[in-house]
Amino acid sequence: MKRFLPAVFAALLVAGVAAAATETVTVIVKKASIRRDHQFYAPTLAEGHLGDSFGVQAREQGWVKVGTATGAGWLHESSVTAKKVAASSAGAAGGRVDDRDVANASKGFNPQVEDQYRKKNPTANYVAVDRMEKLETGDAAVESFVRDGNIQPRGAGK
Amino acid sequence: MKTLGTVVEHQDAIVKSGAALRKGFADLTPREEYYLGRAVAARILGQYKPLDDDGRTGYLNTFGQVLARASSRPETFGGWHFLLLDTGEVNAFAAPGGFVFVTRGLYATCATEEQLAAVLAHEISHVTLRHGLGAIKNERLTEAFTILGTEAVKEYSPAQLSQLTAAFEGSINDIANKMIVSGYSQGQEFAADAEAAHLAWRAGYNPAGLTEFLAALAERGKQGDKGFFSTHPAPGERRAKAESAIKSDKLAGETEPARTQRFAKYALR
Repeated sequence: MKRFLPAVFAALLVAGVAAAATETVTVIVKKASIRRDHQFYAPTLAEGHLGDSFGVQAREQGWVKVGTATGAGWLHESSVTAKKVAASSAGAAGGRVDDRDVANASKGFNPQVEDQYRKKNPTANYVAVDRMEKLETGDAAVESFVRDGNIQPRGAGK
Repeated sequence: MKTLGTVVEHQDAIVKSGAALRKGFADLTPREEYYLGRAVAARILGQYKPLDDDGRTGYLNTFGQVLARASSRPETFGGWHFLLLDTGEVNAFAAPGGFVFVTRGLYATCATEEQLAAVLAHEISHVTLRHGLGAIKNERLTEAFTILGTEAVKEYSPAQLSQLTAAFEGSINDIANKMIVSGYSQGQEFAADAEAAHLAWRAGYNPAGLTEFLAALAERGKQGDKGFFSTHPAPGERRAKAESAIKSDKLAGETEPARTQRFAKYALR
């Protein structure tokens, strides 16, 4: 039981922070990095995914400080939308907006429209696009690139 | 920043109400921008083959991520992606949402990593400044937004889908024609250059790489390469404006030998 206590305490703490927050933000990209510092090359502590919502603790230089189960971190302002949620319904950090909101947000040009377009345009090379999207570069590769090139970033990256 | 505020505010409005009235390209959501970008990228990749070179592709992608992180939109809806195209034509394209293409010919024009940083930063800036989306004719979006301005639905009816697909296809044509055939306006190219100088500087690069690259491009232009030069302002004029912006905005930087040495390993001649 003892070993579960820190985790329970952390969850309660995060939930408390979120409930106290009068403002939450919701992730509007597929995957958003929650960084240790408000700096664009800072290491990633956790990830937020489309529709995840977080209580806001602070804002600075284009970054939003949010609480997560593993501690506070920074999301870039462009990856989230500000959304006022009543304190009583804010829920724990990392909670999700309701189904109706997600349905509304997913309207517009979407996979259904893309499928139709692909049928009409067989020369469009979506196979190559899918392959391009799979070219992932992790934090480790970026860190190594920055270190090896003696790159000294200037500013917090607004 | 103004652009970020616009994206966030509009997304907010859309999340709050499915029936929110939208008017122009600035009202497109990040998700819609992503699907438009995928389609434009699919068209480009229907025309050009990717360069079969894992080493340089990996280098370009990591480099692009480093620069994109310093931009006003470090994370687009589907992330940033960078690819080399196997053609000697001197050109580069940036599709909405963060799909960036650099041709083998343009890559080979770069003599240093600072110069390639300028090229990538310029393309990234076209995306962050939403120049591609700005090419979409208003009436297409008005039509699409009218269809979307009804109740929230999880799936479209056949009639709605047909109309939306027509608007989508028309939008792709508008963007692709602007990017590949007619080119962006001079004002947009100069704006992308100015933003690129700032981006390269913020990321830790020497913004003078931009003026060096434009000088190399002017030399290349004398050889009669048509593709890039038919869709971009004269490199000499761009260089003068970029030099002036770098000076007035005090964007001093140094070219780091370690980066020049690294680039030598990946250079194409």
